[in-house]
Amino acid sequence: MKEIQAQVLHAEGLHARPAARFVAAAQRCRCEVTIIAGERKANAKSMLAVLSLGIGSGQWLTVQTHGPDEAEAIARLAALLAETSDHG
Amino acid sequence: MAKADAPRELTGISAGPGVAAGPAFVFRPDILPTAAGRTTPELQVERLRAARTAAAAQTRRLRERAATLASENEAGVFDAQLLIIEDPDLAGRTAELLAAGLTAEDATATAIGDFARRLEALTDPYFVQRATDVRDVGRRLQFFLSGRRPPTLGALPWGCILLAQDLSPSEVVQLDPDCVAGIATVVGSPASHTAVFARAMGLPAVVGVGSELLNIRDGESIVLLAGAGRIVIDPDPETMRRALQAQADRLSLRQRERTWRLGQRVGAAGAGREETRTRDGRRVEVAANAGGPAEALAAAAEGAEGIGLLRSELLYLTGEAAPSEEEQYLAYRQAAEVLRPYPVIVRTVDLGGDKPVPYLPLGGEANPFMGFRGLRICLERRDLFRTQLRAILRASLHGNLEIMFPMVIGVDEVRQARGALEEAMASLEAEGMSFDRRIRVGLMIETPAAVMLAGDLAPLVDFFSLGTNDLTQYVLAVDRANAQVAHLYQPENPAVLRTIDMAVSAALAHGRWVGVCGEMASDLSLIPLLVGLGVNELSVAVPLVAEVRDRVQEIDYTRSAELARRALKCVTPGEVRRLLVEAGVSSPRSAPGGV
Repeated sequence: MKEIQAQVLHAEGLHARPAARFVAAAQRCRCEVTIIAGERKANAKSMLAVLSLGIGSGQWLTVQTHGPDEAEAIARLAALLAETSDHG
Repeated sequence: MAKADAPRELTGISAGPGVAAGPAFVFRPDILPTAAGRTTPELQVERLRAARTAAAAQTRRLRERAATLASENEAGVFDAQLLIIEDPDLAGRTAELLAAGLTAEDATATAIGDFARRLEALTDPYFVQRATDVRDVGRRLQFFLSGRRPPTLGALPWGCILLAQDLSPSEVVQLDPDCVAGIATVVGSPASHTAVFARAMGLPAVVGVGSELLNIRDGESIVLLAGAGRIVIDPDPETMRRALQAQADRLSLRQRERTWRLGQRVGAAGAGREETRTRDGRRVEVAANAGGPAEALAAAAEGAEGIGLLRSELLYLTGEAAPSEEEQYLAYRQAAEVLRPYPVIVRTVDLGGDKPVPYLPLGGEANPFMGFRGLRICLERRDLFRTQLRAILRASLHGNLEIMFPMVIGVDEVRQARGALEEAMASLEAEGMSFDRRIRVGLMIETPAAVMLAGDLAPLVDFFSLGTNDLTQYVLAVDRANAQVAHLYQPENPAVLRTIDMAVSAALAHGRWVGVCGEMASDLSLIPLLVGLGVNELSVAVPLVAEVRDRVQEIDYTRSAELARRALKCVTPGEVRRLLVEAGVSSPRSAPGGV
């Protein structure tokens, strides 16, 4: 299992398009992906679960990956969270 | 601030700039149909899977439409909805509920409700807004489960201002911006979907007006001053005139912009599409209904094999004088060029007491649908008719144009209309102008009289197109806008099916081609019946073209013909519905073993 702390830098937080991009990226990973915000945990491959965490801009969260491509997965997802806009 | 005495005014929140004027159209969403009989859990799982597939396919098309009419930014909303439809946690929760014995409908409603409430409990308005996406998805899944398509809002009265409690993204994006003049909603904020999409589509909109909005009656004149967030009800003539002028200026500018943008996308979509055929090879053309050249472009982008109904009313309803020959020629020519080599059927103008225009003293009729309208007006006002026929003829050089006459009840009218066409041709020839002399001429079959005389009308023309909305209303004597009798409006009524069969058989017996341009043509469970009866073309709202093409490709003509024969023997609408369920055609993307 790999784990990383990351801060959400997108101005609107992890909602709608930024969340859709994050979830779509998580779905492309073969490993399991979990995000943890405070005491709450969510399946990162579920748009609804990620949205219901209500993660705002600037908030810190934990990303955990578990499975065959866990190392590449965590690097890719952390980079996505660090984006400040969703162009590109 | 609303007062009981005129002029009344309501205020709301501006959702963008623009002025709109027109009759109010109050949108009352359909009540969800109730579920069919109980079945096994395995079948529930299968039904849900089919509904999800259909909803996902529809969402992909909405995404394309949003990218075309609004922008990539708004299209992103449908990317998020697609992820919700295919969400693993939602699927897991629903599966548990199904295993506990719930129906697909109840399991979906419960799971969607749970997730939506979780989002609604968050404090950030951005996240609370996402609950509307979840509920929008849930509502569409319920419709697909019931075998009915979610309401499309694709066929609203020309130039109306749409009033609604609220509009979901899937509803707003399906509006035809050539048709709807503006929008006002009871709820909403500048960041709500209605506001965001309306801005991106260039539609003037006022949101958050409050419940008084829905006290405005259908058809009442209103002016929407979107920038100021004001709605003037029953305005004085001067306010109305200025608003109409501002609206006309905005429309012509927007039309030019959008035509350019759509043209680029059509180029990208590429040509060389395969002809639509049933599984056993019968050719069925899938065409689109359009209100003007811009919508015709959108139809081409969707892959329509022609325009089965080009309404010409828009040209007549936006100005203070009837449109000139030149203005009409350009509009028809543009549509013909975009669709070439596919046919574009121009319906000669179908004005009536329900759509009064300044230069035609109409209105005040007790029953405009049985009054002075359509071809009846054209045969009286030969000047207007001649101008339109000359414009269509001149444009016929630039593509494959056809002419269709609406509201026909007899042979005399058709002879007179053909006479007027001959005169228009003679006048062009006298001026040395060229046109397609062999232009095809057809009739819109929408009155019971035209069906009774179909065998006598067919030899006079090249084709029939069945306007099944009006035909159903006239055959059943049911006004579907009247809530007390609307439930009797059933296109699957055997009286309607036998009427359609009479018209189709008469056309085919004379070697004439026959199409359907009413809403029935896009009803997935009725398409097998229409194809089975021998219909050659289905003309549907632009956003439905791809879905209808898929449907035609998955059915079998021989089996559909047998199904149609059995349906014609039914004596009640219920029997027809049962027959369709048994044949497995009454749910979307039909059950295994479907026709």
